[in-house]
Amino acid sequence: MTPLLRLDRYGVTYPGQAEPAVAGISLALRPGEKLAVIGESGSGKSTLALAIAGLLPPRSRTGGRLDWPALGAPARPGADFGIVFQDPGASLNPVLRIGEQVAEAAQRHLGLGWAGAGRHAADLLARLRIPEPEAAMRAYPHQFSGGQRQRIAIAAAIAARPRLLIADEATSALDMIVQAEIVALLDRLVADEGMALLFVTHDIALAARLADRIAVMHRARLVELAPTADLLASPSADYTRHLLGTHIDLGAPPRLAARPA
Amino acid sequence: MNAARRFLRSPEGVAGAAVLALLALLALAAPLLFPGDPLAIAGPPLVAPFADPALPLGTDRLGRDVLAGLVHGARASLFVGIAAALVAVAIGSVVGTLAGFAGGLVDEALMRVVDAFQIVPGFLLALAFVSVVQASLPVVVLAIALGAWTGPARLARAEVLSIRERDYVASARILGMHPLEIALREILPNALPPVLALSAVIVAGAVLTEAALSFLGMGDPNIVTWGSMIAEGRAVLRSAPHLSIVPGLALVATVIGVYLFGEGLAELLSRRERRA
Amino acid sequence: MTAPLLEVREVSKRYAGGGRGVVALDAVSFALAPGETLGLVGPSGSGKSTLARVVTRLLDPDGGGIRFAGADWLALRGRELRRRRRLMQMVFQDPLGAFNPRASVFSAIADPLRIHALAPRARWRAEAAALLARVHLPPSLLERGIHEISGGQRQRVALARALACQPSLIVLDEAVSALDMSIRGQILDLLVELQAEEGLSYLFVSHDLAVVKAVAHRIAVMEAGRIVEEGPAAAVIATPQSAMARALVAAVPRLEHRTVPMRKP
Repeated sequence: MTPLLRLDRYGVTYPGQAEPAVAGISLALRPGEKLAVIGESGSGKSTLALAIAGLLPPRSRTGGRLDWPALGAPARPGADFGIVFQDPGASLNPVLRIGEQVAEAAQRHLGLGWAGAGRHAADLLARLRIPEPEAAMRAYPHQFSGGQRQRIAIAAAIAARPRLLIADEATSALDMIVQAEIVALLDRLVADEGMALLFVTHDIALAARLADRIAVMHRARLVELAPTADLLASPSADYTRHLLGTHIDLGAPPRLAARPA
Repeated sequence: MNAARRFLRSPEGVAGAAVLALLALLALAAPLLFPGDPLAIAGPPLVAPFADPALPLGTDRLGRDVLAGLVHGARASLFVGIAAALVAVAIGSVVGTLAGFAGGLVDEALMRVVDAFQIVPGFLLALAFVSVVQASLPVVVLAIALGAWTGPARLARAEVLSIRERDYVASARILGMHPLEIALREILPNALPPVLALSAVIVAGAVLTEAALSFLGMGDPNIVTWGSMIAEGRAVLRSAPHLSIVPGLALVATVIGVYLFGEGLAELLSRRERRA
Repeated sequence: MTAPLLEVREVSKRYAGGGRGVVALDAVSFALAPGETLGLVGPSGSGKSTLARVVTRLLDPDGGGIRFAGADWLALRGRELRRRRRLMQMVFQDPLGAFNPRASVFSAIADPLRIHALAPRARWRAEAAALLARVHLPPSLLERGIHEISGGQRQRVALARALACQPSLIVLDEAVSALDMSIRGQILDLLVELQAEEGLSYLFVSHDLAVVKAVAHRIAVMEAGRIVEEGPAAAVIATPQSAMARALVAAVPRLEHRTVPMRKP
């Protein structure tokens, strides 16, 4: 099967920096696959997402190859891929109504008229469980909670039915309950639409919940890339073992000192 | 210092600084280069520029040396520009910080005062003030500052309002810091940089306002300024246009220099914020 | 049984304006004993951050009372309040935002020493170095600017600054949420270590139940401005009674197929 996205020894160095932010990355993303990229701050995982979305600052130096074999042409933002960012407050234009922002990509890339794009947008909002989608279309971002804004941002990103959705720490700014809802939503959405998902996160358990394969990044390099179950059962890289060992979930023993009387 | 090095990386800032440095040098060296009163008669009237090597830019209607006037005029323009900006920023920062920090009625009252000053166009305010009080350089400085202080005031207030909500101010309160110390150590130093960046624009405006006041004959009559030179040249604009154009070009160069310097300053300040 | 260090009784807070008139806190009551860690959990909007701010008197409540260290906490004003603030410190979520951008590590830690006259000027440097050592940071960090060190280091400096006050209680408002996973564990270990050494109490606010479980003796679950469940940490997590507690437990992502054993980092 032709990969949707392929990177071959790909690297990025930001302007004015000596050290690369990302180096020697080789991976292939299959259509409909869910790939999680995990790493700590400074690992380069966000840089990778931005590079794939074509959002690197000008004068950045890149090396290696990044192409989209299944598309046969360079990827068009909105039409071929959508991206959701970490801060739900900053992704939406505060002075435009929700309906406009969600419908925009559909109108531009699917060739729908305003009415058609509007119906499509309302439909998306309903699928993303925004209450009263018709009324929501006319509302402004500040009238929604953080979790709702993130759902709206996701709706806007997938409005033109792209082949790939990139989520760059899309749940990191949300509380646990909303995070779990959004992840479940993404899981279903991606399956329904047949989209591929590139999910960047620092939480390995979250990645494991969602992804078919996990890519582990450490200091700009890809240290391990394996199917989820294999990675969790027998990680090959030391760093992966380190991440697994230091993860705190409800199974971790408490660190408490004995309670003073 | 780190800041100086970063400033040097901005080409606009460097260009602006160079222009301003040159002007400052000329202004300071004026009595050395052209000793004596620039308003004294130096030669026959309306000598063309480059005709007489002793009078490189010629003379005006009364026979005064144009180049001497130009260089001496730089002193007035730069002095007024910088002094007016300093006064405006000082008054504005204090009022704005007070309003932002105190809040409530004090804030409301001070902002209405700011509104009142802002409604009247700055130039008219300066003109009115100078007509009432006898014109001299310090009076011109004050007149211009009266119109220009409202910008820094609003900016300082906005900065203080935003900084008040930051975690480090809350942290200072929790540590038990005295409110006065919080205002002076935590808030004010962090509120000033955008106001300082604005001051470059104020200098440019002040230079132009001073020239306009002098042009209308409302400036200090005892010194030569570029504005008064332009006014003098008005009568012979068709036969000797250089008398007005040359000081005009000097104004343009000064204002451009100030703007470029301000750009460099803004670059410097914004880069620091992005890093932190 | 010792008297509680902190007693919060029927505290309420309401936000007016914006057409919303939100009830942020609705008659909230709880107590905290010396040397104890109370975990305050809940989703965003539950009021836990507002409660933290009311307890630290960054906000004043509309109703209710608070007793802290044997005194009526809400009645204190001016100089007396500033003096007693020493005993209740706070560590914030954003390690960078919690410091004056112009601060150095030394100036940040020396501030409380100066404000509360806890050491003569000549001894500030030595005291600051000693405080850094207690949070496992080298004294060479004293000269660095706050923005020059890593997030984990910054949070340790924030702890050192809090410790400089010799407090009885530290409020931690999502203090590890912005840190990398592996660093989180280190900071939590440090908190427990300091508690054992000093007998500190912690009010640990977080939306992440797993992190709270790692350090809390008791847990209080908040929803819409009220405490809906309270009890020993292990019990609340093993057998949650309220719907919110159940939702919080279910929301923690679990590492299945864990074969790599949990090691003490």
